[in-house]
Amino acid sequence: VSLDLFVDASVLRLAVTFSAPLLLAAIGELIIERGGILNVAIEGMMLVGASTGFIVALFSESLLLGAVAAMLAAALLGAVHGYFSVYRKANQIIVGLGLLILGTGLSSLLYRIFIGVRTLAPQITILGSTRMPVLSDIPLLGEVLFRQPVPVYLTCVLVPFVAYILYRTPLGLRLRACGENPRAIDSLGISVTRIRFFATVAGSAVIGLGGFFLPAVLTGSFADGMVGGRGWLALMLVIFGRWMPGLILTGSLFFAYIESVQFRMAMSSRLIPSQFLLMLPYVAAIIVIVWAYRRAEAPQSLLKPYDREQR
Amino acid sequence: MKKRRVSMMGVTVLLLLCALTISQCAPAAPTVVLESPTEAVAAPTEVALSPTEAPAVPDYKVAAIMPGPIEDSDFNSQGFAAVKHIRDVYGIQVDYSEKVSVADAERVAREYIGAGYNIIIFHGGQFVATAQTLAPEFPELTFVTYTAGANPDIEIGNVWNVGLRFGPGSYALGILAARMSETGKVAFVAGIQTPIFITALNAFRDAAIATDPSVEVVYNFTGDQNDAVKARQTVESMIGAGVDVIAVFLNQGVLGVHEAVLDADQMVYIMTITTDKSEAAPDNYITSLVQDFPSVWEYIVGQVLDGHPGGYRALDVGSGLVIAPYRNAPQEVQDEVSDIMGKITSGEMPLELDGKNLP
Repeated sequence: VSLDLFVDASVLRLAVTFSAPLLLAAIGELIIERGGILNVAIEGMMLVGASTGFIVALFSESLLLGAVAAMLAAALLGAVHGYFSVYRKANQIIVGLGLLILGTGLSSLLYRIFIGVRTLAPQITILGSTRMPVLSDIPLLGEVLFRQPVPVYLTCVLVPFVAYILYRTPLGLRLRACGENPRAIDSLGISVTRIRFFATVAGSAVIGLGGFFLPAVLTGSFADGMVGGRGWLALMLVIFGRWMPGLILTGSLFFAYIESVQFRMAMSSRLIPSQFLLMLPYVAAIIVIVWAYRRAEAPQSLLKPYDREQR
Repeated sequence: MKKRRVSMMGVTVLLLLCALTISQCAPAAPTVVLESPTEAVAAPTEVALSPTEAPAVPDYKVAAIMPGPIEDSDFNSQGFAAVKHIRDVYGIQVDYSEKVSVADAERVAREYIGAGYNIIIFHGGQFVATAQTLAPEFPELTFVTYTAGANPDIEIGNVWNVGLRFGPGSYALGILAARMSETGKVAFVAGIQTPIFITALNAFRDAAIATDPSVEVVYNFTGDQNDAVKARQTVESMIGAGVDVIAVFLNQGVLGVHEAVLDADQMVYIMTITTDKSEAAPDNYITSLVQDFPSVWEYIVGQVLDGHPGGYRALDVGSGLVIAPYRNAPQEVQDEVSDIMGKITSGEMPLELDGKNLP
């Protein structure tokens, strides 16, 4: 294996492109977890976002409408999650797993109802790569960073935006307080349940957008189970990123890079079986999580339903 | 408080049950559009497809077990088309299960056997071991399985073995790849490493190198025939490494390949299998190896009805496998391929096909 392939421009460019859906899903999960709710239904929400968004984009011929539909559909699942885990104080893991199964089945069902069986799979016009004038001509960096589809840039902008909201606004402070010490914020007369519920809905909408990224930017069509474990990787990314947007961005780039480089390694060398290379991102995820989790500080009230009557 | 906890438990269990119910609903009640690629005509079918016009043959019931969703517009939708075809031709009761994993295949087959189905068709090369397990246990039934070709390990007493002989067709793709490549680097991509695809890879590579010894052949297995995202990642990696002609032995995964080649800076040619999808990227397609499963199933079920419960049927160039009309290939290249394919099918040029070892 030539060492050049590890810094090959096309490998790095792929890593940036394929990090975007992971990043969107992880940022959505971050918003939810910062409020103290654990959502394990990311995979199902992404699938519903991908399916709904694709169907709406196909029939309306508008990617924008598809994106809105994807966000709304996932937000609806988020509202169900929020209702049970915040207002009804149900076990968040069980609710999440229920919604995961629901979302997986629902995505297939929606596609079957609206599209059905066809000899040629319908495709939407995707948002392909865009060359940024002047910047794309910079050696290496230009190809890696400035020849990306527009949604990749927008996803990157989301990171400082969410960081700003979390750390520089009263809303962010309240959200973080809900995840750390909900009793303190309740004593100020602010509704913990309302903040947690809306954080779950908003975060789910962003996760749905992450699902829609797949057909809208990468494949042009919906395929059954197309999220392919990326929802679980996003869940791990939040831990890897220690619940901080900047580190989550680094983590998503890292995992996407491992994924991209393994495809090139599989072509360049036959010493390592392709099956082993395919599991590399997940092996890396486990190793990194074991290392990161020891230093990570999860929101203190994560997974704990808030009950003001409880002592 | 205790009462509240109990009611919450009930609500949670109810939510889980609803989720499971909807997820289980998904495979049923498909909207069937096999005639028209562009327009969906609502024609819901029941899971157990009932006989139509042809006279009923009550002794036989056919069950098909498919690895993926029938709306994949590829291998599984071809299986679904074959299910409908034999129902219409023979008027026998048919049923199918989709998205069946290898681990579940035996259980699903046993459920069909328990329900009186006596021709079990495993629509996928990954189910060979399951068919081999069940065949000796139920000698009065017929099992259909797919392999890379005539396989001496398979008892044909009550097993119909369909040889998905991609070798000769894949050899044609190898010639085309070598002749169409300008970078001198061509590629083969498939999902899972079964003997069927390993045979195809070896034939493709042998042909490319025999046509132009300077050609470099790279290959990769994405791990999933239907993961379009991984397929796009793999193909983009290949394009980044200088590949400009790719033989794509994927099913639904090919959708990601279309977008990868359409988004590429340079012209990248592709060739695929199962169905002709060239409308999706007309400038990039050279040809496809189109498989006619309905005719193969019709033949096999006909044989079983005539009293032949086992045997071998090749799905090969000229017998159920068609090389789709060429696009974007110069006439002299087309002639060269036709000439060599003529020699292969006549036996003048025998191929040594290896389905066990990767290059």
